[in-house]
Amino acid sequence: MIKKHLEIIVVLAISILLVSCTSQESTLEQNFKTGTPDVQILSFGSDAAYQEKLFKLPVELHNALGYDIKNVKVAIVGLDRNYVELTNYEEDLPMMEGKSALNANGGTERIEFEGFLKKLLPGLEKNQQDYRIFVNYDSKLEFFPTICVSASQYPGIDDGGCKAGGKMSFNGQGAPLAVTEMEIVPGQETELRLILRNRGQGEVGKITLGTATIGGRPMFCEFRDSDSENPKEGLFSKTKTEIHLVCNSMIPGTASYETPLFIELFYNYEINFKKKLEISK
Amino acid sequence: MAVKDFLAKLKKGKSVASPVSKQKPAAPIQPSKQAYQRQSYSIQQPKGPSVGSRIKSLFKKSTPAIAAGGVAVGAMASSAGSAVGRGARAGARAAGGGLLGAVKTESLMLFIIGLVHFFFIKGTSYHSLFSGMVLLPLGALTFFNYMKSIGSINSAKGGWFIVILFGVWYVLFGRSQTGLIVLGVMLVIFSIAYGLATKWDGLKEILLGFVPLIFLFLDVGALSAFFQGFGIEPTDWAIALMLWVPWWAMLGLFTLPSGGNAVTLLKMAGIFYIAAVMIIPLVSSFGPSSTVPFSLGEFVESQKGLEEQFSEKENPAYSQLVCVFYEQLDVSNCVAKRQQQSEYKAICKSRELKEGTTEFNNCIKEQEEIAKEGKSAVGGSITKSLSEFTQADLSKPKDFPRETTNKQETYPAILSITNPGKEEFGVEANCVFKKGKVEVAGQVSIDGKVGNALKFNKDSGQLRIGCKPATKLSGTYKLEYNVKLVNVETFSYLSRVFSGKDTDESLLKEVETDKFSKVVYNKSQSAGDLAILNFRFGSSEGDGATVNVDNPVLFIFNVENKGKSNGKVVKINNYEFTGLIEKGFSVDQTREGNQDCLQGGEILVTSTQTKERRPQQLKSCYLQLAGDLKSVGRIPIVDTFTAKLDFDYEFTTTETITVK
Repeated sequence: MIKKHLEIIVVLAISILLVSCTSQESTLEQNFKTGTPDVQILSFGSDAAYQEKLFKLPVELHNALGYDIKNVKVAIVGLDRNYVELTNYEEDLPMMEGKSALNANGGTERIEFEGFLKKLLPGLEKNQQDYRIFVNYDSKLEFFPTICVSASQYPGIDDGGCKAGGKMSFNGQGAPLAVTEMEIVPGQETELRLILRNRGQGEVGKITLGTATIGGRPMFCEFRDSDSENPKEGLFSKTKTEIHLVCNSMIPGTASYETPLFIELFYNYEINFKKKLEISK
Repeated sequence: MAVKDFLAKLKKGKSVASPVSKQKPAAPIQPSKQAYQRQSYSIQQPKGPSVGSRIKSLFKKSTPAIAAGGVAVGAMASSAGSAVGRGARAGARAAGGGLLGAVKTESLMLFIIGLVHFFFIKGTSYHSLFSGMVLLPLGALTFFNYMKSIGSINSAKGGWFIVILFGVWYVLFGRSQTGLIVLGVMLVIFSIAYGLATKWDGLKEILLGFVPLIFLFLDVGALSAFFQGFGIEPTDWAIALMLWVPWWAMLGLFTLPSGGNAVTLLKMAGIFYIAAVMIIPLVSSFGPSSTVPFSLGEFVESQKGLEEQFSEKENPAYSQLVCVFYEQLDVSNCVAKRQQQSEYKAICKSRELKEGTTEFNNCIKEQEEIAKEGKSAVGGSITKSLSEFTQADLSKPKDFPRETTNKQETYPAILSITNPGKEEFGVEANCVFKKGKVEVAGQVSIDGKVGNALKFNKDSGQLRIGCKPATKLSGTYKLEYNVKLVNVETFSYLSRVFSGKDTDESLLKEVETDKFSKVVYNKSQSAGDLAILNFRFGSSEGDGATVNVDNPVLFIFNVENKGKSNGKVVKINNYEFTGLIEKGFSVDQTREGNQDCLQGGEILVTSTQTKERRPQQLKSCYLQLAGDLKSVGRIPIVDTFTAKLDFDYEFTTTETITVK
């Protein structure tokens, strides 16, 4: 009987095994430097507590960026110390890993703020504290597309190479700060016009230009229309929601060709999360 | 008579009334269609005496002063009428009808009585009574007749129905919600029935019936009650409208049918007056309130608060007028200055200083300094979060014997106390019977026990305070009760955010938004006790919640009466800003100020110093900040500070009694 159905059983078993196995992309092949992720708070303490008790406020922070974040400061701001006395209102983390081939989920850190909930004022049944968890960090952004350049001022002419010039859009490079558009103006001195935008929920502080190369050769870049006086620094403001970075490079030869671009930008970023704590008698 | 003739005679100083009186009575002729359209109300005037005789008869009924003005009005109107009359007979008739309208007895009466009410009765205890019993019926009569005369309505039945319905609800139903529902249903039924019977023309009458009621409520202070009830800060023009517009007189004025130059001038003056009153900038500061008064008396009380706050200032219309003549180049500044000066004068007069003396001038200078330094800007508010507070009220019981044959009757007063926190305080009562210069001491009993003092610590209660004359009485006396609550305690708290030169601006901004976005949170918070302790500290400009620790920190406090109208704070026994002292704050002795401003003992206070909504500053000083606040880092610090006050509060009430 078993013999009779052995073939069917074997076929079914193999099928099950085959179906169970999915073709998972290797983390090594994954590009983590895409999109516009933000730092997240995975969990925090209770939003209700009683007076005259020890108080713990655990904050679990997750770095979902494609880059490490450094000089991370986590601060509790706005708690009235007449009601809540924390031993420390700010904690520092030297570094949090970002998503990478070695850590596909990104780094997670748990910080615990400790303190004491004081006695409510006479006649008060409860008190609500509105506060914010501020996270401030330094990080960077790498922009490394392969682009087509040409020393010819007439890139429309087919020279057997690639199509140089024109505008391109990007959906982020794995950080809240993103290069969203780039325009290539071909010519012997090719100009790259990049537009940077803050796609995160927080605020981007000062942006500093790091390395800028095209085909491995250094490029001259500077910020235009920035609120900063230093052309190597960019600053957003209430009215300025995009920053322009312009790079120039001499292109050898006359034919068009593809070449790697690499622009590194360092920036400071701050995000806050609004929370409530209700203290009862 | 033509207008020109009239003016010429006026210039010559001749009587202008006589030619009018000589006019023959106009024959009752139906006016032409054209004239009818132009002056539709003219044909509704009854057949009868001429314009002149109507005017004469009217002014015969009036006071001489009014009559003089009225004759002028009548003459001018007559002149205009004559001028028209030269054209066509019908036209003259129409104009004559206009003159009749112009001198409508009710409108003038309402105008005059409205002015008398505004200047002499408004603000007294007869305000709401007079407004409801005299001006409402007269206003309704005037308004309905006016609307009839211009052909807007044919009958005033619907309007009268609304006024009477209101009266029934107010008097018979005692303003009850049930009454409102019952009468509301009646109103709907009547409206439908009357609407059907009049082919819906009657609905207009019904709607117009609400107009006199609106004037009634405007007069008794419904606007101020509305603003206070909903915790809204009234705008400048709203305050001006509440205080400075004689609403009933305005109704009388604007229902005077046009037809004469004098009437037009008066109306223009009325419009100018309202405009002048509305454009004067006034400053207001109101705290939120939890109830909306609904009786006329309560409306009046609510308006009294405003009057107390603003009546010390010069009538803005008068300021405007003076400034237009004397300071043409900078009228707005002139008005503001006059208003401010009049307020300072009132404050100094309240200190019993005589105008023109050096002390008075110094007082004015002091007030100017205070205003300049922003020292008077200490406001407090009552928070609903603090549910336990002490309130009390002294009232007369229903069985109070106003007239008696008992020569040594015991006259009761009721002290009602709510004290959910069960705080202990003393009650001391005294009374005296006064008849001219004769004073008869009263023997006090509390809840039937002879004695004038006790300790109270219950959560609530009513104490029956009896007053029995020491000797036999005969005749009419003023019985004066003085009931003092001794050592009543209250506490307040104030939140502040501290920042320094290293503080992150974005963090500070978020804290300010989260915690101090409403102005009320910048002020000290108190329970609704009989008196509250208001305090603030920070920059000398304004009362913002952010304290920059790198700048001098000014501290100010005052005490504000929050009890009933017949009570006042008489003494501060002690005050202590416990939150500040415990956290390490102290008085900066290197700077000017009261060294005892954070903690102190007895201060005798006047009712002006503790006036509700605008108490005067009691102490001020600069603060030395607590050690940990001397330098604030990147993160702003939020803290709350408490303060407590021990005070004596006194109720005084007077009753007239007659012993036969």
